Amino acid sequence: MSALLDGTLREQAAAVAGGDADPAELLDAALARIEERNPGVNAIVETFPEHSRRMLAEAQGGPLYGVPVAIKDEWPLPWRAERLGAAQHLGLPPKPGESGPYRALRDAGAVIVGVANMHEYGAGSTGHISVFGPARNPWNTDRCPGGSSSGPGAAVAARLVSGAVGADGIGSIRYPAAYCGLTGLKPTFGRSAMQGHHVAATTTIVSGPMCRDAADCRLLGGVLFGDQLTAREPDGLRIGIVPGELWDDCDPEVNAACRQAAEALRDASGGTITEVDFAGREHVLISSILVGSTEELAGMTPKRIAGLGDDVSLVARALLRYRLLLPAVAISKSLRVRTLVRRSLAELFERVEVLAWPTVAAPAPPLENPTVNLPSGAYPPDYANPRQAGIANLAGVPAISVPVGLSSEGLPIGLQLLAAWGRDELLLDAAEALERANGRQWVDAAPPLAA
Amino acid sequence: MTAAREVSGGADGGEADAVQRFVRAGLELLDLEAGEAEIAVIEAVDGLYRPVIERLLEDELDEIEPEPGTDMSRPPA
Repeated sequence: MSALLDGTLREQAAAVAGGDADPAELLDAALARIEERNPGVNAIVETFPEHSRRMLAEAQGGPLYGVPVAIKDEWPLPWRAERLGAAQHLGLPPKPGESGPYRALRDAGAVIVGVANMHEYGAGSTGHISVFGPARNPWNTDRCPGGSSSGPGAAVAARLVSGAVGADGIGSIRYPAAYCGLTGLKPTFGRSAMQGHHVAATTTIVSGPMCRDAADCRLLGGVLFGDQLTAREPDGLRIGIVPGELWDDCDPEVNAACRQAAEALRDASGGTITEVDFAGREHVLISSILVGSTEELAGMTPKRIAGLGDDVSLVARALLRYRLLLPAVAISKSLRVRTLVRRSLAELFERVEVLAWPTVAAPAPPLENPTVNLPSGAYPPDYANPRQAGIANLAGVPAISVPVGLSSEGLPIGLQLLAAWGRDELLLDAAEALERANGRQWVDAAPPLAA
Repeated sequence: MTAAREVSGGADGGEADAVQRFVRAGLELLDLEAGEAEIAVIEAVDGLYRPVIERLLEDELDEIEPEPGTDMSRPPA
């Protein structure tokens, strides 16, 4: 059963469906794997064997029948309210319930085997702050796994589960996918199940699959979408490259691996690479942060913030105060930038089918005082990362991070592909073509902790 | 947004004083207490983001027509 746990989601689903694996034994093996391996990565913050066994007993079949999966601590479950990786909730107390992702997983026959860690309040791209303690990167447990979907990323990379549901509001699926060597899809806004999320009026956050490879993301993504995500062979793929800081202000090893991957994708599909640009690029970083980080503040009051105790991190207490000081005009202007970027991207996607640049500008930073060193200087990852990933949330378009190499320090490197609204399937097709082009070298690579 | 005072960005001299006054006065107006450690984090974060916020504020953006009834799941009409 241990070998099956190391397999893909679709291998596990096929083994159960074909009678080659007993789903109850698979569940027990997954729970045992978590008990054995999780202390090293702190990816799973809670298991609930009785509820998992009940899910399995009540499952009626489906594409993920009997397959163990994890879900980020961002949605309520019928037996557990979300905690958002934080000691205190910012708004009304959350309640257990049937969230959209829970229903989608249940209806697909999947078994939720654990709740995965996350960066406190979802407000960080590193995963190094959580009330449960930091999640750790299975490729190097002294490094950040990425955030805010830190637990899903670390859990899948450590082979605790083969698929997990994350959430992405300013890159929060793609950063941990890149840092942990996974494939992570940020779907088109509104396409994946989101009911029950604490930011009910979000215009940026989506649920999405985090898996080892694109075919598993297609499977789990289809479950979250409630839709069949048909695979096609990309033919003559028109790839757009945006010159400037999105490429040039990256770690040289990241730049080189991503360029090589983009060229491999071009060659594999018989396509082209064209230099393109979009309007509003200089404001994407701050606009995505301002829009993404203020939508959940409608219920916020100074009194609530003042009431946060020392069990909430110093950084969160400071950032919440800072958000109350942000100029309203800047937020209003960010919405104008959103319009500008959306229009420009719509025109751009008439000329190219995908845009490509590194998901993150540098490999996973240390957990201790996370900093990334770029050609333009040293920055906190939360400054450098939204520049790379925020545009997909600001505009609503889908994006995917695909593993394309390892740095000289043995840390994963991710290439990001973006496509037009509703073309999530194209991103999966392109990711699969890229996997084939490099012989699945990077999607099948296992971190030392799971080797 | 994570603070890291030793990294790129950050205000110096008079600008740092202005940021400090802005942060302290703003929190005081909101009747929101903050310890020195919290203020230090806010100042570090502000040092990083203020330049890009200022660039955004300086850009007029008047010519961008609003997108009424924005549907984020679709391209603009």
